Amino acid sequence: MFATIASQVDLTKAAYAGETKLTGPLNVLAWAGYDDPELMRGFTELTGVELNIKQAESNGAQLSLVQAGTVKFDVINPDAVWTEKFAAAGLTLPIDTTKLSSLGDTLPSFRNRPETVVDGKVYSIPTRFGVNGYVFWPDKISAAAAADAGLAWDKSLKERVEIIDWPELYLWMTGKWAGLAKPEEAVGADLDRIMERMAAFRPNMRALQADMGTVKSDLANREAWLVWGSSSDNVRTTARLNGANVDLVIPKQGGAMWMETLQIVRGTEHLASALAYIDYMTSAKAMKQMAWGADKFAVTNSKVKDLLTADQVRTLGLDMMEEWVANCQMSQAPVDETAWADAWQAFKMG
Amino acid sequence: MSGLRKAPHSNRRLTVLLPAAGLLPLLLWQLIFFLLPVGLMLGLSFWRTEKYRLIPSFTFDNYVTIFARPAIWRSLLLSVETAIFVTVACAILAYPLAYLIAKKAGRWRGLLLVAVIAPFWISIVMRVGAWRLLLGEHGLINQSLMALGLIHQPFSFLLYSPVSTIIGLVYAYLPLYVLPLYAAIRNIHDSWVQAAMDLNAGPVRTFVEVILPLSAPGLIVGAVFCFVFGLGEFVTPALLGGGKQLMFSQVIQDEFQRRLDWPSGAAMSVILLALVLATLALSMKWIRRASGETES
Repeated sequence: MFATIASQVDLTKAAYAGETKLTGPLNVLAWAGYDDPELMRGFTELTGVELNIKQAESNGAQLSLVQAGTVKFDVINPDAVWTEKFAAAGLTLPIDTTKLSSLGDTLPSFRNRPETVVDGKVYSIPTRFGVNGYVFWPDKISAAAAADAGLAWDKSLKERVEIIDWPELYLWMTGKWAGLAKPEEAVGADLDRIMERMAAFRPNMRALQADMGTVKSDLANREAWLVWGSSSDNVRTTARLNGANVDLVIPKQGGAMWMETLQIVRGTEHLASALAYIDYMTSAKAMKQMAWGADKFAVTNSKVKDLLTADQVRTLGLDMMEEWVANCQMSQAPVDETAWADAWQAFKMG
Repeated sequence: MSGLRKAPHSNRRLTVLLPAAGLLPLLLWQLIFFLLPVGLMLGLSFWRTEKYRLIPSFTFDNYVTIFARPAIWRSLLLSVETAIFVTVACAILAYPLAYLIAKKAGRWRGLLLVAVIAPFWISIVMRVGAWRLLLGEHGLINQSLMALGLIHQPFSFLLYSPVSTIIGLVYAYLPLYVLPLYAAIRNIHDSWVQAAMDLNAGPVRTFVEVILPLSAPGLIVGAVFCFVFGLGEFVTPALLGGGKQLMFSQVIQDEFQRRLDWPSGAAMSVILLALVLATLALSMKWIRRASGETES
């Protein structure tokens, strides 16, 4: 059993099999939302290939599960900034983008993203994304106040701000706002500086929630006045759908963006199916289902807008998305993950 | 002659083997579902991780790190303090309730016992979720207090604070305290209480010198349940505590699920298990003493 737990990926075996024929079932390790039955049914009807989708807990968990190899995953779904880690560990394959028919429909901001390329080859294909700033009740906080990053530390917001358990995002944003050019490289004194800022934020922190759902409900019922990060556009969308007329502002000091990708696992026995799956998931039809399905996340296919009603576009914030994205930078994974994990855990322990 | 000599010997063997065979399912159960997982966890606690990979080794580093990090000790201390507080609060609340059901409820006894157990029929997540609705600023408690004019601003400390965690834990474990106490109090004959009264003992003296000592085994069993479960509780502090202070169980979860440092999480689990086993060993001694058993 110990040997199984410790098993590693065998780099000596063939990089892939099933290059041309659609074979299955396809094992996919993905974030919540990819297991939407309608989304899955669409792929199976199109290709005849069954999908087994296992929900991923985190980027690190995906890395750990693929490395362990106890389940042979064919497609994984890490954030774009993790692409290099997976490729460097020999866990993923370069993707032949000529086989992806919808790639030309990708929003300009998400084309040829440097995070998706390793050694000149594309290893990951963007799917869902989001921006992070402040979502707030306009009758409690003015848009002008929300345009300043210092708002989360404002004394008038004692116990009114909620965040979620997302260390990479908050430490990166705090570092950026503290003036660090590359917050992801923060260790030692720079990391201490970030943690001092986080400690100063604690009096305003109403809760650090384990899940996004609680943050949204606390905002919708006005117990939280401000939600920092937590994928702000999604928080805004779902709160508005619940009747809460909240606003989203990206502070002038800049916001942070996240972006999920699909990647193909080295050693897959279903390469053609894996490519077909990525092709399907990047199509306007599938992405429309992701955008207006249960989870309501922004997606990278520009044609999705044409499939939605004007109301749906407004609710999802797609009419504002270009402006928000322009004020955001992609938050990067920390160089020293252990130091950040230790620092965040210490912050959580009070 | 030799056959006659053998007969009692084989009978003796049978008397040993038969009960042992009867115990076999239990032993197997314990082996597969307790000893094996605990053994695995113990073994894992001496491994290490490197870039999310488990490296088989034999190192005390995980234990050394735990001892060296004051924040981890603070969270363990918080868990112990919370478990003690919850145990005492449950004892104070459970005693009159158990006494009422055992001695005064009459034909309502069955119904009251069902009422005590009823919350267990609903998932803990749903019960804790309901507490969130009750304790929030717009929850029933705050709104009622405001409607009655008792407060002008809602109490914000009722949710996402140590107070809400303790309320949730007391609510969750109160039935676990009531049931053993009920059993212990029910076994106290009314004639013993009457005898104390006949000997001019007042109600307080009767309670202190007769009822309380005789119900002590129930008090101890309930306390052990509350303390042990409270010490390792994860769901209630995670949902009601607001993530502002982590209890030890939450730190363990963090190690396994977020930091993916299984050896470190396993080492913390071993420490928690040792604490629980020590509590159980102590409580067994107290239970024996309270129930009048003498060590032979």
